Amino acid sequence: MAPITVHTPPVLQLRDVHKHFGDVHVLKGINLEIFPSQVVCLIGPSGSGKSTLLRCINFLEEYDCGEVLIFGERIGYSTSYDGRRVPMPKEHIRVMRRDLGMVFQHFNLWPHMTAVENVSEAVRSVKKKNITEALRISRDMLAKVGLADMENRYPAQLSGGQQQRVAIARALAMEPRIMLFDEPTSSLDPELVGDVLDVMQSLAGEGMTMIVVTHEMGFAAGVADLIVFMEDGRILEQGTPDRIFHNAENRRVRAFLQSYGRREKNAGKAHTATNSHNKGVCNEPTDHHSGAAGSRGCPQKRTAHQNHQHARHAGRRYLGL
Amino acid sequence: MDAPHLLTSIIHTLPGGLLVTLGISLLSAVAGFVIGLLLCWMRCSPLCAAHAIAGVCISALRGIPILVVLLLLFYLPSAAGLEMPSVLAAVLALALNTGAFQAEILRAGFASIPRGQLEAAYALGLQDLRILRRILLPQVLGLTMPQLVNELIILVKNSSLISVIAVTELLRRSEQLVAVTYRPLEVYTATAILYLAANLFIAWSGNKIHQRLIAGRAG
Ligand SMILES: Nc1ncnc2c1ncn2[C@@H]1O[C@H](COP(=O)(O)OP(=O)(O)O)[C@@H](O)[C@H]1O
Ligand SMILES: [Mg+2]
Repeated sequence: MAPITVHTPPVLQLRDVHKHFGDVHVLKGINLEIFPSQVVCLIGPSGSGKSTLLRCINFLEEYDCGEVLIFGERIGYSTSYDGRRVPMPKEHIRVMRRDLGMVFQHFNLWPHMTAVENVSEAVRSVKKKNITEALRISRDMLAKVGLADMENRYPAQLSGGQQQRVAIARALAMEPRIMLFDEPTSSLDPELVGDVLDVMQSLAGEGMTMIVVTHEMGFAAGVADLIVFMEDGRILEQGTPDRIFHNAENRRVRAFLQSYGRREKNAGKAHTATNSHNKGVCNEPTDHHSGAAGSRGCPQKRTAHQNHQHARHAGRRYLGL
Repeated sequence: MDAPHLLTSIIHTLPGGLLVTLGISLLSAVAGFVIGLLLCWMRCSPLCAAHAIAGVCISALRGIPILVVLLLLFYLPSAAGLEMPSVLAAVLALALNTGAFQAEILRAGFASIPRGQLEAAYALGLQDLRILRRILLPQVLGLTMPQLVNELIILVKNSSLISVIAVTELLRRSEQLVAVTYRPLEVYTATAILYLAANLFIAWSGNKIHQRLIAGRAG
């Protein structure tokens, strides 16, 4: 269990959540508690229901029974006077979603808007900021993810890693209290993964509560406070990275992680390439990093970055590489 | 009537008619766009009734000749003792017809926008109307502009039908001019040239707007 369970109430609670797609039982009674500033990595084989679980949290997907509580309030449904479950008004769901930022595997940027327009759209229309203020916030966010000089580019003019960082900036600009990441690096070229993970790691360092569906075991081992392993719609095991990666009780969890370890070893070349790329950026802050490293962000960024290097090594250690 | 005199009459009579034609066409196109959006929205609705009603409306409006719709709209109210202004009947008939076709064009446009873009908007808490105005419509318009412009050109040509209920648009004025000059060949040639010029202009500006809308995005 997480280290801080006793005094603080959970920011997110799932109680016996079930979900069907037609006849397919996709979530089979999920129970989970997440506490402030916790970084939770959700891992498990493809098709096990990780995305669906994440999407139930911000109610992009309706759940059949059980409850999802965000800061103690149930999202999606309320209880009528006679105890029946009734759908919540759309407007109320919209308000509750403001606490939740989401980052998707395929970025889902709006292609007809520039980076800064993508980020500022919801700041203007949902947070009701005037355009000057919205642009200021959006530029700050783009600088924070290392894209200060890319604000007028359209998504098609950005690399995958840059697009994903715009998507992160877009979510962060709304000042969410919980961030949900659904395989944020899975559709990226290997050499671009590091930039996105760096941003996520520095976010974790700032104390953001995060739920991350990922196959990046190095990141999970190094950054997560809690690892949750899902298979076939159930949580098979959860615990600290140390426990899950070293002493998993469940045989299936161990088997899954072992198969991962082998794959990572085989992909050793790609791994080294990623690392050297990161080091290059570290020694010689050019490219997109210059924005963040230039002024305010510098010391923080360095620390986060070094942490991340550390995390990667730690991750490899966990995986026995 | 001698040639210079005839030319003067044409120049005095027909351009005014062309303006009426273009005004009514534009009004009908905009009204038709709203009708098209509405039908398209009903067609995509999860409510079976809305879906079915929209389907029937679209089929009916596409299947009944404009002239018949026009005459019905013009004469039905008078049977109920109401006066239907001919311009209103004309705009309604044209708008209903083009609306049905625009609904289908727009539906294809909306369908081609990846679902993830909507999910991102929902997750950020954007309101439905804002999503329509800022996320969907700009992209759908960019994608379907060529077909919508094509629809507008068809509409301008179809608008000649409304001459039968005495709206003095281009064709009606031409007929009136022929009645006084007895020079159908010259007058209708001028009419044809005016229709053609108007439609070429529409095609050209539509192309310009389309370029504008899709500029920059392709990388
Ligand atoms: N919209 C959907 N309609 C029907 N089945 C779905 C839908 N989304 C996901 N599923 C099914 O639900 C199961 C879990 O999917 P998902 O949550 O995406 O898994 P994961 O993210 O762990 O790979 C899969 O079997 C998938 O086929
Ligand atoms: Mg998934």
